[in-house]
Amino acid sequence: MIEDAAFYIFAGVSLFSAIAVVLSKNIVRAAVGLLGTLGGVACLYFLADANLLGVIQLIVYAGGTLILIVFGIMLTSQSPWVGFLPTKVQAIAASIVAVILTIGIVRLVTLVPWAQRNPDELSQSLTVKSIGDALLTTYLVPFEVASVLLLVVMIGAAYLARTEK
Amino acid sequence: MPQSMLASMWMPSAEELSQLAPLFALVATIVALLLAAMFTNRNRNVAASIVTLGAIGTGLLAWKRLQSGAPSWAGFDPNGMGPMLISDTFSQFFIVLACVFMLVVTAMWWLGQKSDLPDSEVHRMDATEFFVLFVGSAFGMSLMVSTTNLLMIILAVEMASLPSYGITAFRKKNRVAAEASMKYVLFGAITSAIMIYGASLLYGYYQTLDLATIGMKIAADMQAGATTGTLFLSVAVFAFMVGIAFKVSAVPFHFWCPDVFQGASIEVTTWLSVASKAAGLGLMLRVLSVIICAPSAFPVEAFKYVSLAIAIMAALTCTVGNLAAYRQMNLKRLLAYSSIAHAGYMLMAVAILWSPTDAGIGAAHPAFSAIVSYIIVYLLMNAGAFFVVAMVYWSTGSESITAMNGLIRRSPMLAVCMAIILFSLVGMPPLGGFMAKFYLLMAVWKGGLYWLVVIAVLNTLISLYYYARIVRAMILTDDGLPEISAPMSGQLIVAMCTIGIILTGVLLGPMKEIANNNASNLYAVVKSDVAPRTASAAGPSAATPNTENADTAPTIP
Repeated sequence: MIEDAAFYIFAGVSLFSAIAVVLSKNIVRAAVGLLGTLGGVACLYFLADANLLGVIQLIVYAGGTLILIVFGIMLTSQSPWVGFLPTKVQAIAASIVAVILTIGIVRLVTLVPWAQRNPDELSQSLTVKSIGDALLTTYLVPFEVASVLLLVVMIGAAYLARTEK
Repeated sequence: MPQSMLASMWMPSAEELSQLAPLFALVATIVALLLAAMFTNRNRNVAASIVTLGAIGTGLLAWKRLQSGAPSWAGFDPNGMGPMLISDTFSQFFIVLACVFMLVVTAMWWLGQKSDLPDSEVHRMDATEFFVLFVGSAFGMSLMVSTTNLLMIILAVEMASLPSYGITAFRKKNRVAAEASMKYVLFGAITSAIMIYGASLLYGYYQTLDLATIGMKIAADMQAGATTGTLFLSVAVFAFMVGIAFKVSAVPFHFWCPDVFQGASIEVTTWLSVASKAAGLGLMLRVLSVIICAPSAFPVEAFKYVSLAIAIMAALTCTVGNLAAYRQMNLKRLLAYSSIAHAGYMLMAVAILWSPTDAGIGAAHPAFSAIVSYIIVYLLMNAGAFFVVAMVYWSTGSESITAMNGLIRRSPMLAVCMAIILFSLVGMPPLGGFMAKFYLLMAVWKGGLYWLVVIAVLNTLISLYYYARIVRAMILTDDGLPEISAPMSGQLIVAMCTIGIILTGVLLGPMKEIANNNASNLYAVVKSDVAPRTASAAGPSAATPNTENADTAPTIP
């Protein structure tokens, strides 16, 4: 019961902040709205027993990425309160696409008999220890490939961001 | 069990590691590049030499594995989840192609140094970064053709894409390059998101990341008479395909292609034009072969829609590519649209994968060999064409079609080779381009998609016009431009490509045989190797979904 209530509260928070992100005419406010969305999703992860994922969501997205975005806005825009308005045609086209997508996704999700997993077994497999084990055994290859990917991308980013002498 | 495995420090066996030797060689090349830069004060020639050696080494390792025809899977999967990586003749064949092409691009980089153009300066200074990104994208493309695991596919596509964004923007002071890279990033991000959504649907429903297992579960569902799957499967598989269609630059995911090809430096354009598309098609074949061919005994309605969508996409890709190439004045942009059109031809054969063949499931589908031999010829044609454009650019500083004026006088050798290459791109007999297209369209015809063949033939006629425009500029228009000082080695590469095109036109029969042998392995993954492996390895860990409980797929306990 209380879990249900918490679910609706957090889902509502992330939903309304997401709408605020889309509708806000001020880019900084949009960034703050994003904080609500990402935080709300993190709480949903906690509710689903995915503790590690929730913490990662808070640290990487709500913490890191969002601050990066705010810094990006501060450093690049002429004025910190710069607004950006889509044209009417863009707004209408985007809303049509969004409505069709929403109907499609909702239909898809409700139509399909999703597999149900035993909650006890599930919470067992979601501990930090079991995730760590999996990363170094079953998912060793993706783990290593991701590290090569990060190395290469970091070099690319460092090159692109470096000022020319 | 994970605990005991950690206690004994679980390691993949040396045999499994040795199966992935070509991939390790590519990573080692990246590391060697970085270390060498530290010790040689970022010497650009050392960097280029390391890439050359790395490409040769990787190619030889892959070639050795290709010859041995050894076991076709290599998975690091202590829990019996199905292989993370697959090392079969199909993947090794693509890795060999990628290495050959890496050598071509490195040669182009080397020769381009000698020209005095402003943007060659950048490449001179920052060779290390350039080659790290370049080899990184080659590594990603090699991964793309060596896996049937959803997670690995996503990582591989990112590994191929992210460094490509970097090398596109490599000329930092060039506005066109920056804009192109920006478009590339935005498109790539959106298509990746759609792809990951499709993958998450598949994973959420089938509870496994292994596509071969998913294929078997679909087959089991069909056998059990499940009906809910059609809409779900169409959406999930198609969404997953979007990310791959972006790499192949299929319409409507092609918008990045002309801008990127024009904005990037010519080495990068050459690399992306062939490697990115070949890897995308390889991945597409891989994905479709494992999820479509396992259940092909039971016709899956959903795949009919996916195939139809791919067929429509192929027709659009061809037509849009050819029509847009009409009015292009920039050679790189023109070749970009031409490469979109060629991707369309190749996608046509992908669309018929769904239809069963007379030969039955065991034999290789004709579409595989048709696409693989098309890719070989396409590689030769594009390498040759871009090399000629590069050499013209190095000596004139212009990428416009007018830079080709009077090439027959300025450099007869290049003009003749370019004319042959262009006619092969159109698909004129008896050149390789014709034979490859002929086999491909024959496969499509036999697959029953007659309207697609008609569209392809009409498109070939359209394409004649804009390819012939370059030939006309080379031979009929002469406005007295000075002679081209093309480096000998560059001319040699162009000549080799041209000879290759003529030879493939005559000898496509044997080449098709080779392509057939290499592609037939795709089925082996589904048919013989994965099934017994998952069944036997899953033994103690009953929680792992395996083939046995596949027939209870919709309600996994």
